[in-house]
Amino acid sequence: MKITYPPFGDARIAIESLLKDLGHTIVPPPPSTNRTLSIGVKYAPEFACLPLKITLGNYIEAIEKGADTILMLGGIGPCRFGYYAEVQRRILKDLGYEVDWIILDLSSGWKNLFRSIKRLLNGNSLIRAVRALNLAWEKVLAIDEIEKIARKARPFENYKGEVDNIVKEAHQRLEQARNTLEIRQVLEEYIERTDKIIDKDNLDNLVKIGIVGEFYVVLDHFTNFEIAKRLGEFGVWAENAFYIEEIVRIYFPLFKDKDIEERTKVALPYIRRSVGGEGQRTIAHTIEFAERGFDGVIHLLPFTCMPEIVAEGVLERVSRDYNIPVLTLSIDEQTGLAGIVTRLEAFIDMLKTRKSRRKAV
Amino acid sequence: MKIGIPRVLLFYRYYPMWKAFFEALGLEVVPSSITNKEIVDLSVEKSVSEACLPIKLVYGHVLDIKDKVDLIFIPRIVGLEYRTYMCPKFIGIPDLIRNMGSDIPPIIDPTIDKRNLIAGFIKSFFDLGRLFTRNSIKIMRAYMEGLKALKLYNEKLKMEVTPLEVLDDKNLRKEDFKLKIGIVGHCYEIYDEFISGGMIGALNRLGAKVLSMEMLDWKSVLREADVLPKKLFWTFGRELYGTARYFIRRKLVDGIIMVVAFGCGPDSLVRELIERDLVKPIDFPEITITIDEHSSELGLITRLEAFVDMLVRRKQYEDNLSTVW
Repeated sequence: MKITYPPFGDARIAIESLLKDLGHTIVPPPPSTNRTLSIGVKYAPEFACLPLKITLGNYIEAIEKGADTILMLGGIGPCRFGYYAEVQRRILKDLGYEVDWIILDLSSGWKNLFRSIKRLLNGNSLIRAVRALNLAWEKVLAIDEIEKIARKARPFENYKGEVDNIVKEAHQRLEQARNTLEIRQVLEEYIERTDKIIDKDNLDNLVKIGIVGEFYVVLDHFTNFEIAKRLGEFGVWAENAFYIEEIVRIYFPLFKDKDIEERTKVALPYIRRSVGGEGQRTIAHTIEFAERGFDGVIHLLPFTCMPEIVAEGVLERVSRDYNIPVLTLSIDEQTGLAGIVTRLEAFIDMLKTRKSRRKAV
Repeated sequence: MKIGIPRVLLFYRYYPMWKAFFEALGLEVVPSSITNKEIVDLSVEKSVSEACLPIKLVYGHVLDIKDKVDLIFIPRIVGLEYRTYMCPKFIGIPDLIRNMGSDIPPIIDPTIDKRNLIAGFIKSFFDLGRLFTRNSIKIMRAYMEGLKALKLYNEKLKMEVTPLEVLDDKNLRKEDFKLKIGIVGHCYEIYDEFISGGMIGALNRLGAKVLSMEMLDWKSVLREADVLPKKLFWTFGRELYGTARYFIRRKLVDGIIMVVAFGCGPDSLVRELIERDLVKPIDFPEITITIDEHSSELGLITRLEAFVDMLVRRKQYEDNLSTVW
C-alpha cells in the first residue's frame, strides 16, 4: 500500500510524520504547480470550488508517481467539502485510475470509520499510534510557531528570501525530528536566528493585516499565491486568524477546544446561526482583529464558496461598524498573480495613509 | 398588519401554507411582484456579486415590497429532512438581508429545521405564531389551516400541472403533447419565469409536456437518492438526484433538462454525480442549462428547439435505444 494524501500548506510535514511512524509507505504528492491546477481543472466539475480541483490534480500527480491509496476526510455538510471524496473517487475511476480510498468520515457510520482507522493503524499497537499522533501534533504546533515568527521577521529581512531560507531549513530539520526534544531544539535555534532579524522597536510601526476566510485558501501557500510572504515583502505584518492547530481543533473532535466556540460568539449579531465552513468564524475573526487594533483585514475565499459568500455579504456591515477596511479576494483558476498583487499594493497604500493620518490626530 | 412574502426560493413550494397560516392569524399577506427587469437590476446592484441569481433576487424582491408592508417573512430554512441541510446561503439569507444596509421593515426569520424531529418543525410555527397572538389554540388552528392548504396544493401538483398554474389559478390545460421532458432543477429556478426564461412555456409551445419533481411523490423521489454510497447531505441535492433517477429508471420522460444556476455550490457536485452515474452509462438525452442574470431568452430557445428536435428524431428510432436498466 503506497499511500498519498491531499497536501495542505505546511501540514504535510505533520501528516507525513504520522503516516511514516505508523509504518506506511508514503508517496507525497509533488508540490502544487500550475500543472497540478490545470490537471485538476481539466477533470473536475466546472463550478466546483478550487480546493477540489487542486487536490484532484495532486492525487493524479501522486498516482503518476506510484501511489495506490488516497487518504481523505469526509464530512456531513452543509459545506461541499464533505462530498469531495465521493466526487473525486468517481472522476478517478472514470479516468481509469485504480486507487483505494481511506476516507475518515463519521457520516457513513461508526463501522466504516473504525475500519478506516484500523487500516491506518496498520497493525500498530494503540500506544505506538498515540505516540505517533502525539509527535505529529507537536510538529503541528512547531510548524505554526515557525510560521507566526516568520511573518513577524519578514518585513525586516536584509535581503529577499532571508527568512524563507531559515524557515526552509527549520522545516527540513523538523521532518527529521524523532522526539519532542529534537523539535524543541529546532524551534529554539530558529527563534534565535530570526530574533536577530526582527527589529523590536519598530514592530508597532508596521502595518498590521489580519487574514481571515476559508481554511484551505488561507493556509495553502500555492492556492493563496503565498500571500503572507508577499505581504511580508511589502513590509506588512500579516497575521492569520487561525493556523493549522486551530483547524485541527475545529474539525477533529479528538482535539476539541471550547475556547474557539466561545470566540465565535461575537459574530452572533451578524450571523445568528452557523452556516457551515468558516462563514461565522470569518465574521468573528474580523471583529477580533478590529478590536486588537489591526489596520486592515484580507478575506480569502475560493470562488463560489457558499459559507464565505454569506460572510462576504455581511462583512461590509462589520467593516463599517468596526471601522476596519476589508479586502475580499476570491480565488479560482482564472485568478492572475498580477491582479492580486496590484490589489494588495493599493490596499496596503490605503492602510498606510490611514495609519499615518490616525497618528497625526 | 401586513406581512410581505418575497416571491423567491421556497415560495413556490410553501406559499399556500404560509398564506393560510398567516391569514388564520389575522394578518394580511402580500407577495412581492413577479420577477421583472427592475427587480433584477436592483438585486444585482445590492447583493453580493458572487452569490447565485436566486439568492441575489431575494434582495430585489425585499426592496420591491418593503414600502407596502409592516413585516417581511424570510424563513431561515436549515433542513427539510432527517439529517440533511439546505445550502449554507439559505441558512444565512436572513442575515444577508438584515445587513443589506437599506431601511427595511423588521424581518421575521423563524428557523425551520426538520432535521431531527417533526416536532421541531411544528415548534418553529408555534414560535412564529407567538409573535402575533398568545392564544395557542388559535396558532394550532392556523397551523392546521396551513397544512390543509399545503396538502391541497400538493394534490393539485400531482395532476401534472406546474406550481405556476396552481398559484396563479390559471385554467388547467389538457392538451396532447408529442414528447415528455423532465426538468431537473430547483423550484425557484424553474418556476420563476424570469430566471428560467419562460422555459416551460417555450417547451409547451414546442410540443413537449414538462414534468418536474413537484409532480412526483416526494418520498419515492428521496428513496431513489438512497442508492448513493454516501448519503447526500443536501435536501435539494437528494431531490435532484432522486428526480433524475426517477425519471430515467421509470422511463417517464424522453429526455431531461438540468437547470443549474451559475455559482450554485451543491449543484456543481450533484450535477456531476447525475451525469456520471445516470446519464452517461446509458447515453440518456440530457442538456444542462446554466442560468445567471445575463442569460438571454433567445439563446435558451435555440437550445431548447435543438434538444426537442433531437428527441423527436430519436423517438422515431426508439427500438435502437439501449436498455441498460
